[in-house]
Amino acid sequence: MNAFKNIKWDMGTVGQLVISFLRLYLGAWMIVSGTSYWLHQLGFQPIFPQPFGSLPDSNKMLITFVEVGLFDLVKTLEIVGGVLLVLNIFVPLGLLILFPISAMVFYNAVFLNHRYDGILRLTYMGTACLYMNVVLMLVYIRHYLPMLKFNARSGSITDIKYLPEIFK
Amino acid sequence: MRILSIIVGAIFVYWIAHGLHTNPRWTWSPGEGELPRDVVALYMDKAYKQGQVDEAVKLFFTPKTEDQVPAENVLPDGKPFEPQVKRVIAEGFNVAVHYSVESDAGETAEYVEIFNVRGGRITARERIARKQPNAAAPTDSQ
Repeated sequence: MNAFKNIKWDMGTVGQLVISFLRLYLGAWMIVSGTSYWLHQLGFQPIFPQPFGSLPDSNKMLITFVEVGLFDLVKTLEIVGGVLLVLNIFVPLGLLILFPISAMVFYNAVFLNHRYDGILRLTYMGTACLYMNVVLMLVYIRHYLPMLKFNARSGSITDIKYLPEIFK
Repeated sequence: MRILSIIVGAIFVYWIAHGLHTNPRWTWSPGEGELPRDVVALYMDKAYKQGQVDEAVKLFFTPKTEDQVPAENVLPDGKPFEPQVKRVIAEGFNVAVHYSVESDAGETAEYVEIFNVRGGRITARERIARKQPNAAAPTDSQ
């Protein structure tokens, strides 16, 4: 309880709470989405029936994803990325894993299902998941900067000895 | 703080899962969440193999389904049959099934049925029949 009493309520704290909310909500949503698919694949009742789009192009894309097995990968990565966000471990990696998925969800919703009304609706997860993903990646941008170097030089294989440092 | 964060995350998971599970947009019909070709397979099993035509209509059709097959002709000989599926062509919402049926008299009839499936339910069906294909009979549509 002392930890709560020591919290200094200022804009920084409120900002941290908003960031935590976005991280947890995006992570939880991805976990639910991935788990529902796998429950169905394993013969159990899903959390919700998988929608296959309301317009032909969306329908074709989603069905093809399922038929070629790519949906298995997508839904597994949703769970992996979601768990990383909820557990608050390897968050930049989790966001990186989820980014292409969020982008595809956005593309499917807006361009294939013509849900243009959802572009400005923050409660519509077809678009909001990408917005949350991008905001969170910007918040964690200092972790991405080292890999965004213009003049990146190769290291040596011995650099692998630094791998344990990722757990620090 | 990490424990608290995980607990809040678990609450979010339950909250989102509950919200999605109880969303009134789902009808929870057997075909919902299934691929269109699987919806058609489920329908054919129920209606043709099990002969439960009315039940199959209730589970897999919508009130607005455009069915070009008269109800009395859904089962060609008026009894359940095992369709010998030759091929299935599925693209997006459309599923075409080419199958044959052998009557008690030994005559073989071939059918191509074209289904349109949306939201786990069949919204249209057209049946093209070709009876006694060995006699090179002309194709006609029901």
